[in-house]
Amino acid sequence: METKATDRARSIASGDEGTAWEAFDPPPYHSETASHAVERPEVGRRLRIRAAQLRDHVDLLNLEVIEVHHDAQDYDLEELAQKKARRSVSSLLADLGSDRGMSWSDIARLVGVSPSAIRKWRREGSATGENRLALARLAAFMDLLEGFAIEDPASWLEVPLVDGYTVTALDVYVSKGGAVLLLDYADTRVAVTELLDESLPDWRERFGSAFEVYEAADGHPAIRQRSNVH
Amino acid sequence: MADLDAPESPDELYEARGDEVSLARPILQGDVFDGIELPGLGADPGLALILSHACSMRAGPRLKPFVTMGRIKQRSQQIRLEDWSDGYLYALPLPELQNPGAEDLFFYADFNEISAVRSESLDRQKRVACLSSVGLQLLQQRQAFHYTRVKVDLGRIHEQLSPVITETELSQDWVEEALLAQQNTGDTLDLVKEQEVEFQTYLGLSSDSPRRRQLKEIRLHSGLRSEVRQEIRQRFRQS
Repeated sequence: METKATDRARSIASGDEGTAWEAFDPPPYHSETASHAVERPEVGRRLRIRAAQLRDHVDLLNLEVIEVHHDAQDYDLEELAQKKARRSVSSLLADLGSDRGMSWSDIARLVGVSPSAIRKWRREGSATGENRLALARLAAFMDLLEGFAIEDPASWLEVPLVDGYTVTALDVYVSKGGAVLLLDYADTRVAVTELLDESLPDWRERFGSAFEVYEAADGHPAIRQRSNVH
Repeated sequence: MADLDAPESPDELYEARGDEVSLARPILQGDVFDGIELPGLGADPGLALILSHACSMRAGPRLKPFVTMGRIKQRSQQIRLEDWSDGYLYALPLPELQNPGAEDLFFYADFNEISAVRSESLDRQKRVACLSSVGLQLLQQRQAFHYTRVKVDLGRIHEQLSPVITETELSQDWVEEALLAQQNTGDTLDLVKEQEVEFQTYLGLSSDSPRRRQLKEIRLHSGLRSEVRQEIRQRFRQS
Protein backbone atom coordinates (compact mmCIF):
# COMPACT_ATOMS: atom_id res chain seq x y z
CA MET A 1 0.00 0.00 0.00
CA GLU A 2 1.31 3.38 -0.99
CA THR A 3 1.68 5.81 1.92
CA LYS A 4 2.42 9.50 2.16
CA ALA A 5 5.95 8.59 3.22
CA THR A 6 6.43 6.55 0.04
CA ASP A 7 5.19 9.51 -2.01
CA ARG A 8 7.60 11.76 -0.20
CA ALA A 9 10.49 9.36 -0.80
CA ARG A 10 9.68 9.35 -4.50
CA SER A 11 9.79 13.12 -4.58
CA ILE A 12 13.11 13.12 -2.79
CA ALA A 13 14.64 10.62 -5.19
CA SER A 14 13.43 12.62 -8.18
CA GLY A 15 15.61 15.47 -7.02
CA ASP A 16 12.77 17.83 -7.64
CA GLU A 17 9.52 17.45 -5.84
CA GLY A 18 6.64 17.63 -8.24
CA THR A 19 8.48 16.20 -11.29
CA ALA A 20 7.43 12.87 -12.69
CA TRP A 21 8.52 10.05 -10.44
CA GLU A 22 7.68 7.51 -13.11
CA ALA A 23 11.03 7.94 -14.82
CA PHE A 24 12.73 6.51 -11.73
CA ASP A 25 9.98 4.26 -10.52
CA PRO A 26 11.75 1.44 -8.72
CA PRO A 27 10.71 -2.10 -9.35
CA PRO A 28 9.11 -4.11 -6.55
CA TYR A 29 11.79 -4.82 -3.96
CA HIS A 30 11.22 -8.63 -4.13
CA SER A 31 11.51 -8.91 -7.89
CA GLU A 32 14.01 -11.53 -8.98
CA THR A 33 14.21 -10.80 -12.67
CA ALA A 34 17.67 -10.15 -13.97
CA SER A 35 16.84 -6.72 -15.41
CA HIS A 36 15.39 -5.53 -12.13
CA ALA A 37 18.40 -6.84 -10.24
CA VAL A 38 20.52 -4.45 -12.30
CA GLU A 39 18.21 -1.43 -12.02
CA ARG A 40 17.37 -1.68 -8.30
CA PRO A 41 20.75 -0.69 -6.88
CA GLU A 42 20.87 2.39 -9.15
CA VAL A 43 17.52 3.65 -7.90
CA GLY A 44 18.42 2.81 -4.32
CA ARG A 45 21.68 4.71 -4.65
CA ARG A 46 19.92 7.79 -5.99
CA LEU A 47 17.33 7.56 -3.26
CA ARG A 48 20.01 7.26 -0.62
CA ILE A 49 22.02 10.20 -1.93
CA ARG A 50 18.98 12.42 -2.28
CA ALA A 51 17.73 11.50 1.19
CA ALA A 52 21.17 12.23 2.61
CA GLN A 53 21.23 15.60 0.88
CA LEU A 54 17.82 16.44 2.24
CA ARG A 55 18.87 15.32 5.71
CA ASP A 56 21.94 17.57 5.54
CA HIS A 57 19.70 20.39 4.40
CA VAL A 58 17.33 19.82 7.32
CA ASP A 59 20.24 19.62 9.77
CA LEU A 60 21.61 22.92 8.48
CA LEU A 61 18.18 24.46 8.58
CA ASN A 62 17.76 23.18 12.14
CA LEU A 63 21.04 24.80 13.16
CA GLU A 64 19.93 28.05 11.60
CA VAL A 65 16.58 27.87 13.37
CA ILE A 66 18.32 27.19 16.70
CA GLU A 67 20.51 30.23 16.09
CA VAL A 68 17.49 32.38 15.26
CA HIS A 69 15.72 31.08 18.39
CA HIS A 70 18.77 31.86 20.53
CA ASP A 71 18.99 35.34 19.05
CA ALA A 72 15.31 35.88 19.78
CA GLN A 73 15.75 34.66 23.38
CA ASP A 74 18.74 36.92 23.79
CA TYR A 75 16.77 39.86 22.40
CA ASP A 76 13.85 39.11 24.71
CA LEU A 77 16.22 38.89 27.70
CA GLU A 78 17.92 42.15 26.77
CA GLU A 79 14.62 43.96 26.24
CA LEU A 80 13.34 42.83 29.63
CA ALA A 81 16.68 43.74 31.21
CA GLN A 82 16.53 47.26 29.74
CA LYS A 83 13.08 47.66 31.21
CA LYS A 84 14.20 46.44 34.63
CA ALA A 85 17.30 48.65 34.54
CA ARG A 86 15.00 51.62 35.08
CA ARG A 87 14.49 50.41 38.64
CA SER A 88 16.85 51.37 41.43
CA VAL A 89 19.79 49.17 42.41
CA SER A 90 18.24 48.66 45.88
CA SER A 91 15.00 47.50 44.33
CA LEU A 92 16.79 45.05 42.00
CA LEU A 93 18.81 43.66 44.89
CA ALA A 94 15.68 43.33 47.02
CA ASP A 95 14.02 41.45 44.17
CA LEU A 96 16.94 39.02 43.82
CA GLY A 97 17.95 38.70 47.47
CA SER A 98 14.75 39.02 49.49
CA ASP A 99 12.03 37.93 47.08
CA ARG A 100 13.95 35.30 45.11
CA GLY A 101 16.17 34.22 48.02
CA MET A 102 19.48 34.35 46.16
CA SER A 103 22.68 34.57 48.16
CA TRP A 104 24.65 37.80 47.89
CA SER A 105 27.74 35.84 46.92
CA ASP A 106 25.89 34.13 44.03
CA ILE A 107 24.55 37.48 42.84
CA ALA A 108 28.10 38.85 42.98
CA ARG A 109 29.42 35.95 40.93
CA LEU A 110 26.69 36.13 38.29
CA VAL A 111 27.06 39.87 37.92
CA GLY A 112 30.86 39.63 37.86
CA VAL A 113 31.76 41.71 40.92
CA SER A 114 33.15 40.99 44.40
CA PRO A 115 30.82 40.12 47.32
CA SER A 116 31.83 43.34 49.06
CA ALA A 117 30.69 45.34 46.02
CA ILE A 118 27.19 43.92 46.43
CA ARG A 119 27.14 44.86 50.13
CA LYS A 120 28.30 48.35 49.17
CA TRP A 121 25.52 48.68 46.58
CA ARG A 122 23.00 47.61 49.22
CA ARG A 123 24.33 50.21 51.63
CA GLU A 124 24.70 53.07 49.18
CA GLY A 125 22.04 52.08 46.64
CA SER A 126 24.22 52.90 43.66
CA ALA A 127 26.27 51.07 41.04
CA THR A 128 27.76 51.91 37.65
CA GLY A 129 25.42 51.80 34.65
CA GLU A 130 27.11 48.64 33.40
CA ASN A 131 26.72 46.87 36.74
CA ARG A 132 23.13 48.01 37.11
CA LEU A 133 22.38 46.52 33.68
CA ALA A 134 24.08 43.24 34.67
CA LEU A 135 21.86 43.13 37.78
CA ALA A 136 18.80 43.90 35.67
CA ARG A 137 19.77 41.14 33.22
CA LEU A 138 19.98 38.65 36.08
CA ALA A 139 16.58 39.77 37.40
CA ALA A 140 15.12 39.44 33.88
CA PHE A 141 16.65 35.99 33.50
CA MET A 142 14.99 34.86 36.74
CA ASP A 143 11.62 36.14 35.46
CA LEU A 144 12.05 34.21 32.21
CA LEU A 145 12.91 31.03 34.11
CA GLU A 146 9.65 31.34 36.00
CA GLY A 147 7.91 31.55 32.64
CA PHE A 148 9.25 28.06 31.91
CA ALA A 149 7.55 26.71 35.04
CA ILE A 150 10.69 26.79 37.18
CA GLU A 151 8.96 27.40 40.49
CA ASP A 152 12.00 28.48 42.52
CA PRO A 153 14.66 29.81 40.10
CA ALA A 154 17.19 30.58 42.87
CA SER A 155 17.10 26.99 44.10
CA TRP A 156 17.16 25.67 40.52
CA LEU A 157 20.41 27.57 39.94
CA GLU A 158 22.12 26.28 43.09
CA VAL A 159 21.50 22.54 42.93
CA PRO A 160 23.98 20.29 41.06
CA LEU A 161 22.70 19.36 37.59
CA VAL A 162 24.12 15.83 37.27
CA ASP A 163 24.59 13.16 39.90
CA GLY A 164 28.28 12.62 40.66
CA TYR A 165 29.26 16.05 39.35
CA THR A 166 29.25 19.36 41.19
CA VAL A 167 28.37 21.53 38.20
CA THR A 168 25.38 23.83 38.69
CA ALA A 169 23.37 26.19 36.51
CA LEU A 170 25.36 29.01 38.15
CA ASP A 171 28.48 27.67 36.42
CA VAL A 172 26.62 27.60 33.10
CA TYR A 173 25.28 31.16 33.52
CA VAL A 174 28.78 32.62 33.78
CA SER A 175 29.98 30.79 30.66
CA LYS A 176 29.75 32.53 27.26
CA GLY A 177 26.13 32.57 26.08
CA GLY A 178 25.22 30.54 29.16
CA ALA A 179 22.01 32.41 30.02
CA VAL A 180 20.39 31.67 26.66
CA LEU A 181 21.48 28.02 26.77
CA LEU A 182 19.96 27.71 30.24
CA LEU A 183 16.67 29.09 28.91
CA ASP A 184 16.74 26.33 26.28
CA TYR A 185 17.31 23.77 29.01
CA ALA A 186 14.59 25.23 31.21
CA ASP A 187 12.27 25.01 28.19
CA THR A 188 13.24 21.29 27.96
CA ARG A 189 14.61 21.75 24.45
CA VAL A 190 18.00 20.20 25.24
CA ALA A 191 19.18 17.41 27.54
CA VAL A 192 21.43 18.32 30.45
CA THR A 193 24.50 16.73 28.83
CA GLU A 194 23.87 18.75 25.63
CA LEU A 195 23.62 21.91 27.71
CA LEU A 196 26.90 21.17 29.47
CA ASP A 197 28.77 19.99 26.37
CA GLU A 198 27.83 23.23 24.67
CA SER A 199 28.51 25.65 27.53
CA LEU A 200 31.31 23.96 29.49
CA PRO A 201 33.01 21.46 27.17
CA ASP A 202 35.40 20.26 29.92
CA TRP A 203 32.65 19.82 32.54
CA ARG A 204 33.30 16.10 33.07
CA GLU A 205 36.94 16.68 34.04
CA ARG A 206 36.32 19.98 35.81
CA PHE A 207 33.32 19.04 37.91
CA GLY A 208 33.63 15.27 38.31
CA SER A 209 34.00 14.34 41.96
CA ALA A 210 35.31 11.27 43.72
CA PHE A 211 33.64 12.51 46.90
CA GLU A 212 30.20 12.97 48.33
CA VAL A 213 28.75 14.99 51.18
CA TYR A 214 26.91 13.24 53.99
CA GLU A 215 25.63 14.17 57.43
CA ALA A 216 28.10 13.11 60.12
CA ALA A 217 27.10 11.88 63.58
CA ASP A 218 27.47 15.41 65.02
CA GLY A 219 24.78 16.65 62.64
CA HIS A 220 27.20 18.64 60.48
CA PRO A 221 27.95 17.92 56.82
CA ALA A 222 31.13 15.98 56.09
CA ILE A 223 32.92 14.66 53.01
CA ARG A 224 33.77 11.05 52.17
CA GLN A 225 34.88 9.11 49.12
CA ARG A 226 32.10 7.96 46.81
CA SER A 227 31.64 4.22 46.54
CA ASN A 228 30.77 4.30 42.82
CA VAL A 229 33.14 6.71 41.12
CA HIS A 230 32.73 7.13 37.38
CA MET B 1 51.22 16.82 41.29
CA ALA B 2 49.01 18.39 43.94
CA ASP B 3 47.00 20.29 41.34
CA LEU B 4 45.25 22.50 43.88
CA ASP B 5 42.96 25.32 42.77
CA ALA B 6 43.53 29.07 42.73
CA PRO B 7 41.23 32.10 42.72
CA GLU B 8 40.71 33.87 39.41
CA SER B 9 41.92 37.09 41.01
CA PRO B 10 42.91 38.30 44.50
CA ASP B 11 39.50 39.99 44.79
CA GLU B 12 37.73 36.65 44.51
CA LEU B 13 39.48 35.45 47.66
CA TYR B 14 38.00 38.00 50.04
CA GLU B 15 34.54 38.84 51.28
CA ALA B 16 35.93 42.05 52.73
CA ARG B 17 39.23 43.74 53.61
CA GLY B 18 40.19 46.72 55.74
CA ASP B 19 37.34 49.19 56.17
CA GLU B 20 34.98 46.93 54.26
CA VAL B 21 34.96 44.37 57.10
CA SER B 22 31.65 44.52 58.91
CA LEU B 23 31.36 44.21 62.67
CA ALA B 24 28.09 42.41 61.96
CA ARG B 25 29.74 39.43 60.29
CA PRO B 26 30.04 36.44 62.63
CA ILE B 27 33.57 35.32 63.43
CA LEU B 28 34.40 32.51 61.02
CA GLN B 29 37.14 30.30 59.67
CA GLY B 30 39.46 32.31 57.41
CA ASP B 31 39.01 35.57 59.32
CA VAL B 32 42.27 37.52 59.72
CA PHE B 33 42.89 39.40 62.95
CA ASP B 34 45.66 41.76 63.89
CA GLY B 35 47.34 41.89 67.30
CA ILE B 36 47.07 38.15 67.92
CA GLU B 37 49.54 36.49 70.22
CA LEU B 38 49.98 32.85 69.28
CA PRO B 39 50.91 30.93 72.46
CA GLY B 40 54.05 28.85 72.20
CA LEU B 41 55.34 30.39 68.97
CA GLY B 42 57.43 33.08 70.62
CA ALA B 43 56.53 35.79 68.17
CA ASP B 44 55.25 39.31 68.81
CA PRO B 45 51.50 39.85 68.44
CA GLY B 46 50.63 40.13 64.78
CA LEU B 47 48.38 38.92 62.01
CA ALA B 48 46.80 35.48 62.29
CA LEU B 49 44.08 33.55 60.45
CA ILE B 50 41.44 31.28 61.98
CA LEU B 51 41.96 27.69 60.88
CA SER B 52 39.29 25.96 63.01
CA HIS B 53 36.65 24.43 60.80
CA ALA B 54 33.63 26.70 60.29
CA CYS B 55 31.26 23.96 61.51
CA SER B 56 33.24 23.03 64.61
CA MET B 57 34.17 26.39 66.13
CA ARG B 58 30.83 27.08 67.82
CA ALA B 59 28.84 25.54 70.62
CA GLY B 60 25.32 26.78 69.97
CA PRO B 61 25.36 30.50 69.22
CA ARG B 62 28.74 31.08 70.94
CA LEU B 63 32.33 30.41 69.95
CA LYS B 64 34.07 27.54 71.71
CA PRO B 65 36.65 28.70 74.30
CA PHE B 66 39.57 28.20 71.91
CA VAL B 67 40.05 28.53 68.16
CA THR B 68 43.04 27.32 66.18
CA MET B 69 44.90 30.07 64.36
CA GLY B 70 47.80 30.12 61.92
CA ARG B 71 50.43 32.80 61.82
CA ILE B 72 50.45 35.14 58.85
CA LYS B 73 53.90 35.77 57.50
CA GLN B 74 55.39 38.03 54.88
CA ARG B 75 57.75 37.25 52.08
CA SER B 76 59.60 39.47 49.68
CA GLN B 77 58.53 37.62 46.55
CA GLN B 78 55.06 37.50 45.17
CA ILE B 79 53.20 34.17 45.11
CA ARG B 80 51.66 34.20 41.64
CA LEU B 81 48.21 32.67 41.12
CA GLU B 82 49.77 30.02 38.83
CA ASP B 83 52.01 28.96 41.74
CA TRP B 84 49.02 27.91 43.87
CA SER B 85 48.60 24.62 42.04
CA ASP B 86 51.79 22.92 43.20
CA GLY B 87 53.61 25.41 45.38
CA TYR B 88 53.30 26.63 48.96
CA LEU B 89 51.32 23.54 49.93
CA TYR B 90 51.87 24.40 53.61
CA ALA B 91 50.08 27.72 53.32
CA LEU B 92 47.20 29.84 52.11
CA PRO B 93 48.62 32.72 50.07
CA LEU B 94 46.88 36.01 50.88
CA PRO B 95 47.56 38.29 47.90
CA GLU B 96 46.74 41.98 48.37
CA LEU B 97 45.63 41.29 51.93
CA GLN B 98 46.19 44.76 53.29
CA ASN B 99 46.29 46.90 50.24
CA PRO B 100 44.03 45.91 47.34
CA GLY B 101 45.81 46.43 44.05
CA ALA B 102 49.23 46.85 45.69
CA GLU B 103 52.06 44.51 44.87
CA ASP B 104 54.60 45.31 47.52
CA LEU B 105 53.69 43.08 50.48
CA PHE B 106 53.12 39.38 50.09
CA PHE B 107 51.34 37.55 52.89
CA TYR B 108 50.48 33.92 53.53
CA ALA B 109 48.96 31.97 56.42
CA ASP B 110 51.39 29.26 57.51
CA PHE B 111 49.81 25.92 58.48
CA ASN B 112 53.00 24.87 60.27
CA GLU B 113 52.90 27.72 62.78
CA ILE B 114 49.60 27.24 64.52
CA SER B 115 48.34 27.65 68.03
CA ALA B 116 45.15 27.66 70.13
CA VAL B 117 43.92 31.16 70.91
CA ARG B 118 41.28 32.13 73.46
CA SER B 119 38.24 33.10 71.44
CA GLU B 120 37.37 35.86 73.91
CA SER B 121 40.61 37.58 72.87
CA LEU B 122 39.38 37.99 69.29
CA ASP B 123 38.57 41.66 68.89
CA ARG B 124 36.18 42.30 65.97
CA GLN B 125 37.56 45.78 65.64
CA LYS B 126 40.94 44.25 64.84
CA ARG B 127 39.57 41.95 62.14
CA VAL B 128 41.30 43.02 58.94
CA ALA B 129 39.88 40.56 56.41
CA CYS B 130 37.24 37.89 55.88
CA LEU B 131 37.43 35.24 53.20
CA SER B 132 34.70 34.87 50.60
CA SER B 133 32.92 31.57 50.02
CA VAL B 134 35.50 30.76 47.32
CA GLY B 135 38.32 31.85 49.64
CA LEU B 136 37.04 29.53 52.34
CA GLN B 137 36.83 26.63 49.88
CA LEU B 138 40.43 27.25 48.80
CA LEU B 139 41.57 27.43 52.43
CA GLN B 140 39.89 24.11 53.27
CA GLN B 141 41.29 22.45 50.15
CA ARG B 142 44.83 23.51 51.09
CA GLN B 143 44.37 22.59 54.77
CA ALA B 144 43.04 19.14 53.87
CA PHE B 145 45.93 18.57 51.48
CA HIS B 146 48.52 19.78 53.97
CA TYR B 147 47.28 17.57 56.80
CA THR B 148 46.17 14.48 54.86
CA ARG B 149 47.71 14.63 51.36
CA VAL B 150 44.21 14.25 49.92
CA LYS B 151 42.93 16.69 47.32
CA VAL B 152 39.23 17.37 47.64
CA ASP B 153 37.47 19.19 44.80
CA LEU B 154 36.11 22.67 45.48
CA GLY B 155 32.59 21.68 44.42
CA ARG B 156 32.21 19.20 47.28
CA ILE B 157 33.84 21.57 49.75
CA HIS B 158 31.33 24.20 48.65
CA GLU B 159 28.45 21.77 49.16
CA GLN B 160 29.72 20.84 52.62
CA LEU B 161 30.22 24.49 53.54
CA SER B 162 26.91 25.73 52.14
CA PRO B 163 24.87 25.54 55.37
CA VAL B 164 27.42 27.57 57.32
CA ILE B 165 27.92 30.07 54.48
CA THR B 166 24.17 30.66 54.22
CA GLU B 167 23.85 30.95 57.99
CA THR B 168 26.75 33.42 58.16
CA GLU B 169 25.34 35.58 55.38
CA LEU B 170 21.89 35.70 56.98
CA SER B 171 23.32 36.42 60.41
CA GLN B 172 25.26 39.35 58.96
CA ASP B 173 22.13 40.64 57.19
CA TRP B 174 20.20 40.40 60.48
CA VAL B 175 22.80 42.14 62.62
CA GLU B 176 23.54 44.86 60.05
CA GLU B 177 19.87 45.81 59.89
CA ALA B 178 19.64 45.72 63.69
CA LEU B 179 22.62 48.09 63.89
CA LEU B 180 21.06 50.43 61.33
CA ALA B 181 17.73 50.43 63.16
CA GLN B 182 19.23 51.15 66.56
CA GLN B 183 22.02 53.54 65.63
CA ASN B 184 23.71 55.45 68.47
CA THR B 185 21.75 53.74 71.19
CA GLY B 186 24.27 51.89 73.30
CA ASP B 187 27.37 49.81 72.80
CA THR B 188 27.71 48.50 69.24
CA LEU B 189 29.60 45.33 70.13
CA ASP B 190 27.07 44.44 72.83
CA LEU B 191 24.28 44.91 70.30
CA VAL B 192 26.12 42.71 67.78
CA LYS B 193 26.47 39.89 70.31
CA GLU B 194 22.88 40.27 71.50
CA GLN B 195 21.47 40.18 67.95
CA GLU B 196 23.64 37.21 66.97
CA VAL B 197 22.06 35.26 69.82
CA GLU B 198 18.64 36.57 68.76
CA PHE B 199 19.25 35.35 65.20
CA GLN B 200 20.39 31.93 66.42
CA THR B 201 17.29 31.69 68.58
CA TYR B 202 15.14 32.55 65.56
CA LEU B 203 16.85 29.81 63.52
CA GLY B 204 16.26 27.38 66.37
CA LEU B 205 18.64 26.26 69.07
CA SER B 206 17.99 22.58 68.38
CA SER B 207 19.70 21.10 65.31
CA ASP B 208 16.35 19.55 64.50
CA SER B 209 14.39 22.80 64.30
CA PRO B 210 12.58 23.34 60.96
CA ARG B 211 14.83 26.24 59.88
CA ARG B 212 18.00 24.35 60.77
CA ARG B 213 16.72 21.39 58.79
CA GLN B 214 16.23 23.78 55.84
CA LEU B 215 19.87 24.83 56.20
CA LYS B 216 20.98 21.23 55.71
CA GLU B 217 19.63 21.08 52.16
CA ILE B 218 20.94 23.44 49.51
CA ARG B 219 17.70 23.28 47.52
CA LEU B 220 15.85 24.77 50.51
CA HIS B 221 18.27 27.65 51.11
CA SER B 222 16.52 30.12 48.80
CA GLY B 223 13.24 29.69 50.70
CA LEU B 224 15.02 30.17 54.01
CA ARG B 225 16.80 33.29 52.76
CA SER B 226 13.51 34.81 51.64
CA GLU B 227 11.85 33.99 54.94
CA VAL B 228 14.70 35.38 57.06
CA ARG B 229 14.97 38.57 54.98
CA GLN B 230 11.23 39.16 55.30
CA GLU B 231 11.59 38.70 59.05
CA ILE B 232 14.49 41.17 59.10
CA ARG B 233 12.38 43.69 57.22
CA GLN B 234 9.49 43.30 59.64
CA ARG B 235 11.67 43.50 62.75
CA PHE B 236 14.01 46.31 61.92
CA ARG B 237 12.70 48.44 59.08
CA GLN B 238 9.36 49.20 60.60
CA SER B 239 10.73 50.06 64.03
